[in-house]
Amino acid sequence: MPAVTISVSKLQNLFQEGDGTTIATPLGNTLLEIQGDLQFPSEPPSNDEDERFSEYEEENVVRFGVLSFDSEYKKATLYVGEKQRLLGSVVKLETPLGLLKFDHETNRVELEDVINYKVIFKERPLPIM
Amino acid sequence: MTTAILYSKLNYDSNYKLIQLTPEIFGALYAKKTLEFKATDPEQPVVLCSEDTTWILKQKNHSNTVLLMKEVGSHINSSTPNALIDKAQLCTHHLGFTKLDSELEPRLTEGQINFTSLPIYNGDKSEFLNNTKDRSLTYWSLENVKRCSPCSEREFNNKWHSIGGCVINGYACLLSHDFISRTLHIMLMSCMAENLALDEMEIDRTFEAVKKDIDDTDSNITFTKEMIATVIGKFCTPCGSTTWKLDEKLVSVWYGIIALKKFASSRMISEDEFMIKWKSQFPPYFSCNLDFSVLRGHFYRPLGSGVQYLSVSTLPNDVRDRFKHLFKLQSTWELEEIEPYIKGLNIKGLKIDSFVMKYARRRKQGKRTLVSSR
Amino acid sequence: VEEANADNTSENVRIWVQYNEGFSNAVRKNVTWSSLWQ
Repeated sequence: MPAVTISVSKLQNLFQEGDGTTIATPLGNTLLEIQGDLQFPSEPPSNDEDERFSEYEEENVVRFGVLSFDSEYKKATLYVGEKQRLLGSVVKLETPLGLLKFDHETNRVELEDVINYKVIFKERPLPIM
Repeated sequence: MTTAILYSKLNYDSNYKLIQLTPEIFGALYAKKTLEFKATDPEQPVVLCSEDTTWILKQKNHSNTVLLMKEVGSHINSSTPNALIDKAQLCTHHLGFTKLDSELEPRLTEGQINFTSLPIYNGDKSEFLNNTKDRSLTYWSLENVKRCSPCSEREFNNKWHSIGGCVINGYACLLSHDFISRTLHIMLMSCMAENLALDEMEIDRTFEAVKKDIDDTDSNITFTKEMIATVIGKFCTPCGSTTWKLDEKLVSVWYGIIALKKFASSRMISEDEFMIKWKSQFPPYFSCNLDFSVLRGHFYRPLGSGVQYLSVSTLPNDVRDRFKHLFKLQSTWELEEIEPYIKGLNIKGLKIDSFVMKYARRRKQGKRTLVSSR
Repeated sequence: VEEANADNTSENVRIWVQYNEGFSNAVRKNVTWSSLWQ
């Protein structure tokens, strides 16, 4: 008889809609969408000359790019790796999305954030000039 | 112009899902009402329930990369990236921690009570309690039934009595049709004997009236207040915080089905004769208007004239087979009389005319719409 | 030798977006309790 109540203890913070000048929610989450697959090695390589790989809270992470965002025009540029540049925009979601975390150890579900905006890149990548 | 340095975990965290928050769900969250996921069992569909609404969940898969990134300060210890950011005034660091290839899409649905494995109570209490040892039946508390029903609390409470749900010695069960019939009959007689208004019934006073009548006879039936509450809930509509109004239509349909089963199940009977039999089923002096059309969905007309009992539960579940079966019983139907037998299979919610035309021939005759086999 | 090395490096640490020509969006029927937790 499975049932679980969605914990909304973080609720107070979730209902403050961003003012649109920042792409992150008040809790610091950002939704990044790319029409394509973001590819990088699944393990840190031996010759990481650009020092793109590191650890964060004991997990392997890769620095895959840089996002620059013009809040006035809601335009964004995403630089991926060494060679690609993607042009995109910040859009308001038609239906806000709830970010749910499923904790398998405690069998709890937490609504961690409410997302109202996303940065989306739908165009074919361009070379970096 | 702001600039963010983007990182990603090499192994994404898979414990996250995105769910579309429709205005209704948002409202339920905002009002701090509880929201929960429920399912009858692990392999059954999940529903999302607020206090009074139920949504079924659909999973929408997509082909884009959707990364959820959190701001991490500049704790990530890797070298400063290239010249792209040198001119930036503001620089933040974001770590992609989960990748989501789907969204959960809630769609409004009607909450259902999971009652298929509940025990049936037919009036014999000692037999009922003996059977609690039977492992094939589910002897649960009402709370447990609620918990594993894909249904919001409000919908559950509204429906529980109308399906005949009751609690006996702490066990949730369904009152049998026969037992409901007996209880309704005695209840109506007792109320009339005590001069209780049937449009302002109260559970306590009704129970007292029934108890008094039962104590006067040497009947071995025992009624509990819960049983009376079930029968009141099933046949009445609430009209105050503690008062209920008898729904004459529901009562007349109930007695009509009893009469159909009794007098028209193995043979057909003329409609006029049936009306007399129907009237004879009610408690003496109980008056209510009888309209044969309320029994649509419980009878057919084998030769076009007389009527015979037909339960929808005996019909095939496949839509083509069902139409075929119905036309074998009766070659031509009035649309209003065939509709209740087929509408449960109209899962796409088509207009009834279009639905019928997919499987049968439909023609107008004056004001009537007739349906027959193609 | 220098050039071969550089190639090698970019081969090992290739980070890029493989563009999808289209966007597909499919609705899967129902979500079961166990698939919710997968």
